[in-house]
Amino acid sequence: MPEATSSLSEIPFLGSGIGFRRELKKRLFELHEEVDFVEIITDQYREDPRAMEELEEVCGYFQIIPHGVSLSVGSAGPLDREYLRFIKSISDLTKAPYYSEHLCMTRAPGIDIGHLSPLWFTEDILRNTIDKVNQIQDYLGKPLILENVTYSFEIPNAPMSQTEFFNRMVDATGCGVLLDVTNVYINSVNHGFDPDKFLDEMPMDRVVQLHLAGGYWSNGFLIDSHSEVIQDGSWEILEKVAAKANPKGSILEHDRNFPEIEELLASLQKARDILGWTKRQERSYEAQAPQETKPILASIAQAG
Amino acid sequence: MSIPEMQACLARLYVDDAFLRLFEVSGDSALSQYRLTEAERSAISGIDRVQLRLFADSLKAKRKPRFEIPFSMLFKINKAALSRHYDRFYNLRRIGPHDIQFDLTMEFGKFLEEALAADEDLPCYAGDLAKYERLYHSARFNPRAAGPLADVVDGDGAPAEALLGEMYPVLRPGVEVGEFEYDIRGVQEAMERGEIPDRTDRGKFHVAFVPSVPPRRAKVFRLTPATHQLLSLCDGRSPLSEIVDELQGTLGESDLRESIIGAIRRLLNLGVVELSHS
Repeated sequence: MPEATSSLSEIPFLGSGIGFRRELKKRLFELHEEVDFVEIITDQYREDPRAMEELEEVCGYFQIIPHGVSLSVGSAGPLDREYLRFIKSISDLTKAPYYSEHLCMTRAPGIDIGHLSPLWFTEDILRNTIDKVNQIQDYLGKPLILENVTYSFEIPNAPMSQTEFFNRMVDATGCGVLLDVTNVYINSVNHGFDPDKFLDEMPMDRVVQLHLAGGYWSNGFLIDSHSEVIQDGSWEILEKVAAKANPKGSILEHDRNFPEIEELLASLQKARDILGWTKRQERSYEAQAPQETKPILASIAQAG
Repeated sequence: MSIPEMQACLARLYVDDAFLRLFEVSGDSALSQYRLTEAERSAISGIDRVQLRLFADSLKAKRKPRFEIPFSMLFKINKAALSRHYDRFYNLRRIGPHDIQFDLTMEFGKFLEEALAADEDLPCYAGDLAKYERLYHSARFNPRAAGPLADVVDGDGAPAEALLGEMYPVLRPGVEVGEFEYDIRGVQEAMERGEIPDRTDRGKFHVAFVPSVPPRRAKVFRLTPATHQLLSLCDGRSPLSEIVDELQGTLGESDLRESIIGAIRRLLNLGVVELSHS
C-alpha cells in the first residue's frame, strides 16, 4: 500500500471550519472558539511579504489547512519547482497535517488560465497526474488531497469518467479526496447527473475533508460563487456524504457578500449536526500558537 | 495521444479572444495550429461553444477587478472606454504562470498612459491620471519596497551639524516621484468632492507618493519646484553640504542653507528621504 495511505489515517480530526478571509479576520479572532479550524488560500501569501506576518498571527488562533489553486496537477509537463518550494514553506509554517489542491488544469506553457479548468480524463493524464501527486507528497512529506471542481462544460468522449480517474489515482498514490459537496450539487444540476450515483462511484473511504458553499443562478446555470447562503441541495448531499464517508473536517467557503458572522457560524454548526460532530469533540491535534503570540492572546482575552 | 498539444490548445481557447473567435468561425483552421490526434480534435470540437465562450468571458471578468481597482478614478470617469482598454491589454499581454500581479498592474498602468493620451473619449489629463494611479499603487503595494515609516529619522531632533558632513540624503525605497503635465492632484480632489472635471490646469507638476503605516497605504504630497529640485539631488551619492552648494548655485541664492536643511528635515519626517552614510 502506498505510504501516504497510512498518513491519511493519521490525520487528526479537525471539525467544522471556515475559509479564512481578511474581511472576517477581526470577528473570527473574537469568536475563535466557535471555529474548529480554518483554511487559507496559499496563493494569497505569495506576492506580499507582509501577508506572511498575518499568517503567523492566524496560526496563533487556529489550526490552518493550506489550500492551493496553482499546482495544476492535471497539466502535462513538469511541476513548477519554485511554486512547490513556496507551498512547502506555507505547509511547514502552518504545521498542517496535509495539503489540499484541485484535480484540474490551471496553466499551460506560457499561459496562466486564472481559474480551475476541467481535465479530459485519459490514461496519459492519469499517469502524469499519478507521477505528479507522488512527487508532491514526497516533497511535502505529507498527504495531498485533491478536490473535485465545477465545470461549465465537459470535454466530450473522455476515455474514462471522473470517478474512475479519482479511484485509480488514490489507489496508485495513497492521496486523499477533498470532496466539495457543493461542487457535486452544482455539477449534478448543471449537467444532469445523479449525485447519489456520483457519490457511490467516488472513493468515499479516502475523503479527508469537505467543502460547502453557496452560489447563485444565472441564465439557468448554477454558479459556484462562494457568495450566498448554502443551497438546500448541498445540505441534502451532505447528509448522504455523512452516511458514506468519515471525513476529518469540513470547511465553509464564503469569499464575498459577507453576512453577519453569526450566520456563517450557524452554517458551521449545521454541518456539525449533519456529520454528527460536536464542538467539544476531542481533537488529537492541538493548534500550536507561536510563543510570542500567547501573551497577546491573553491580553485580548482580558480586554474582551 | 498528444496531451500537451491538446491542453495548450484548450488553454489558448480559454484566454485568447482572437483564437476563440477563429475556432468559432472555423474550428479546423484553429485546431490545425496544434498537433492533435483525431480523438482530441473531435473532443475539442464537441465542446459546447456557448459554455466555452461563457467560460472564456468569465476568466477575463475574473481578472478585471485586479486591474480596475488600482485605476478606480479612470474607470469612474469612463468605464466603457477603460473596459475597452482592459480588453485590449488582456489580449495583447498573455498572462503567464510566473507573472506577479503587482508587475502586471504596473504594465497596465504604463499601457494606459500611452493609450489614453490620445483617446478622444477621455479628458485630456487621462494619460497623466493613469501615471498618477500607477505611482500611487506602487507606493502602496510594491513588494520590493522598504518597510513602513517606523524607522524614519526624527528630522526635527537632529542638529544641523549632524545632518551636514558625511550624511547622504536619498529617496526612501518605495517612494515614487512623478512629473505630470496636468494638475492631477487637483483632479483627485475634485473627484473626492464628487465631481469629474473636464479639464484641469496644465503646466509642470511634481508629486511624491510615500508608503505609510499601516501597510498598504500611501500619502501623496505636492512638491514645489524647489523641493523637487532638492529631491532630484538626493541620489545617495552627494553629501548634504554639496547639495546645499549646488542648489544655491542653481537658484542663484547664497543664503539658503537653513532653508534647505529645514526642507530636508521635513522630508525626513514625511518619510520621503532617509540619510545614509555613503
